[in-house]
Amino acid sequence: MTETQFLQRLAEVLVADQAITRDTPLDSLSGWDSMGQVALVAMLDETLHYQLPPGTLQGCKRVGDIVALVATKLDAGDEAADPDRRS
Amino acid sequence: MITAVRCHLPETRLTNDDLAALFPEWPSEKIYQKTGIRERRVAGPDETAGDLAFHAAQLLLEDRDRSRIGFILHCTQSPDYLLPTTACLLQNRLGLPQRCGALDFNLGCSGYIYGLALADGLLQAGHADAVLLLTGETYSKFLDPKDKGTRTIFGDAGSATLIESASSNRLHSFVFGTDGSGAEFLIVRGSGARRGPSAESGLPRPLEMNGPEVFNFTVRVVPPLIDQIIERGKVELRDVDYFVFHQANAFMIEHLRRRLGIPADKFALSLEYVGNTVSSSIPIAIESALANGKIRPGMRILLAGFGVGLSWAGCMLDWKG
Repeated sequence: MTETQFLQRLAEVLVADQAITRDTPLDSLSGWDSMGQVALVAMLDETLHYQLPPGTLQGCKRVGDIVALVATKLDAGDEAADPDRRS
Repeated sequence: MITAVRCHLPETRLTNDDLAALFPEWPSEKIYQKTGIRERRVAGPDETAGDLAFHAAQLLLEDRDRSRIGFILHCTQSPDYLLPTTACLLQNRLGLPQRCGALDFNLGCSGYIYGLALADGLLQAGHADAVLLLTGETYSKFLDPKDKGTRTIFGDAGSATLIESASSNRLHSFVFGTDGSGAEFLIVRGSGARRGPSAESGLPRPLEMNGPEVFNFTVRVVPPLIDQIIERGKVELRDVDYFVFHQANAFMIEHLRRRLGIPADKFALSLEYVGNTVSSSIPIAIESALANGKIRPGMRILLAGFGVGLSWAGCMLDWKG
């Protein structure tokens, strides 16, 4: 999964009604509540087999904080270069 | 070792419509979609966890010789009193012999498995021939009425399980785990000696739950827990006929089921009309699976509990019938 694809999944999970970037404040997303965070934990585990270290979510203020956590799990390159790639 | 399981629920129902009326931002159907719960039971003002365990035990012992019970183990985090131990009160109320040992132990979602292990140890050591394992929980009394998250999830219940050395329904391959560093993710701070009850209400509350962190914990520990149980039991995952996990909420345990590759028809889901009943959730699921034939003689069953503590445990149950 590329970062672009990851951001799309994140936008779905957090019910963002506009495109999100690394700079988007998490508090600005309507889905950033306890249910949305539970859905995020599930998505990270399911798509990237990534489990957050305990207490990490409280420190996440912007979308980029989440991207940074999973950076090593994301593929290099962008969606256009590898459109069918699924993790 | 397990001979029989019976459960008891309080009368009052709290439905999703009731909750949606209080919290319009969470419509009834959304609550169901996110949790798999349609209603939960709530103890009355004068109804305690000890009462719920008592009624479950009365059902279990209805046609049984009470004089054979050598030990009562009662799992609760909402005891009738800090002292005396609720299990002592239950010995008297249930008319059990005075030579019976009795103790409460304080665990939540993992508590039923710990109770089975303690009972198994008492039987193996020859301290008793029959152990009555009770669970009783009334988290509803700890909840902040304004906290839609916890009110949506938790339900009150009690259970009673008879564990006997003469039974051939064998318990084995126990695995335990603890991570107290996550204590604050599910806690009633205003309760014991550290802080004391709420000055305002005089009641032990509120229960604080960090749902995402608790789920994150289960995602981390449950898959390795299951691996360790089946390794200890010398079986493969596909050899297990039925899985009974603590019924935390349907979204969470369905995620675990998929990640572990467990077929849906082998996986207990029994929280729709009771909610997350903490230490009673596994016995409620077992009672229901026995009643509807999902658990049948000859089956290998895997039990797993995980939650407040943070604490987890699991074991195998070979059901001979």
